[in-house]
Amino acid sequence: MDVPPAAAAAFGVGLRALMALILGLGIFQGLMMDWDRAASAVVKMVVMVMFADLVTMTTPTQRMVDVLNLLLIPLDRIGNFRRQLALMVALMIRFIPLLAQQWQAQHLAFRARTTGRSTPSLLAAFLSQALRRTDQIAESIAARGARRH
Amino acid sequence: MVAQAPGCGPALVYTLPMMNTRDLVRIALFAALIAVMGLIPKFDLPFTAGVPITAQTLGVMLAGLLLGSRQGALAVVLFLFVVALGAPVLSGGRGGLGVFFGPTIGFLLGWIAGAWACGAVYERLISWMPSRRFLAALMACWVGGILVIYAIGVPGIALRTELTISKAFFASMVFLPGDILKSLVAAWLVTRLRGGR
Repeated sequence: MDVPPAAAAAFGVGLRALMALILGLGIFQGLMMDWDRAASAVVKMVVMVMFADLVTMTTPTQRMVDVLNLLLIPLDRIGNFRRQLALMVALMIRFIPLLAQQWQAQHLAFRARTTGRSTPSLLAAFLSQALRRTDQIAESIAARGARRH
Repeated sequence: MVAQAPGCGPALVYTLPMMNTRDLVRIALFAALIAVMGLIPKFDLPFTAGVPITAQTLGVMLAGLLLGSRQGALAVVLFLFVVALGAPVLSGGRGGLGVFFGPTIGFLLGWIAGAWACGAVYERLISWMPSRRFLAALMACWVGGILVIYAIGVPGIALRTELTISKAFFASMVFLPGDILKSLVAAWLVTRLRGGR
């Protein structure tokens, strides 16, 4: 089975991040209660996380999406659910780099104008700009004829 | 939130009655915002050097406050859905099905209820005391963003680790200073964006 390297890397990072937390909790539990149960809890959790991650790791996202597409068909009864969901997922994934970029641009502009460290007001500017852009995007989606998804 | 007029024909039946394009895009935006707050860990939050802090709950609080209870909760649901699909958008680059079996599952699910409660409390309070926006937002964050999230997250830890509830609560206390700070930032941001004091 082919595992794409990006997925493998994400898997490694994800497990490592969670592992620190699990180990921390295990140590806490060992100190507060007893080490036997702490160890069993840690092992149980690690195994469960690893098995669940294994599914993600060996399943291309497209396959996952295909399965969900089948499973969610019943929900179409309460509205055009799957198309709305697909639109939202696509928009969200597209928004992530867009927002990161916008944050960097505003951060640079802020740094160019002031000598101080960035403050929460930068966050406020970031948010209001993002909300404004959202409304523009909604308008352009509507303008392209997706009034009813 | 317009109720469907009777006899409007089949075209309207096929849409969720409360979702127009603008709502969809806003929900997607806040879901992305939660993701971005996990990707950029150094969101210039001082005084938290030692504490493992994610700005993602700030995104959850803001979703509830700025989108309202229902859409705020939907933004969190969308975010978690994309996490489940395998996108590494949780803080620390986590993602995939694994996180739903880790000790923080309670907190992740608590975010949904938290965002909802944040919005609900804020809406009530702001109609009750419209001139005290900061206070209303802060209290909404404490109820929704802290109380509700911990109320679901702590039993989640207890369930996963066999710790007792009180000890699990003790273990989650490390996050509390960060969460209080985030609630202050969220309330301040809402005041700044919506006006008032």
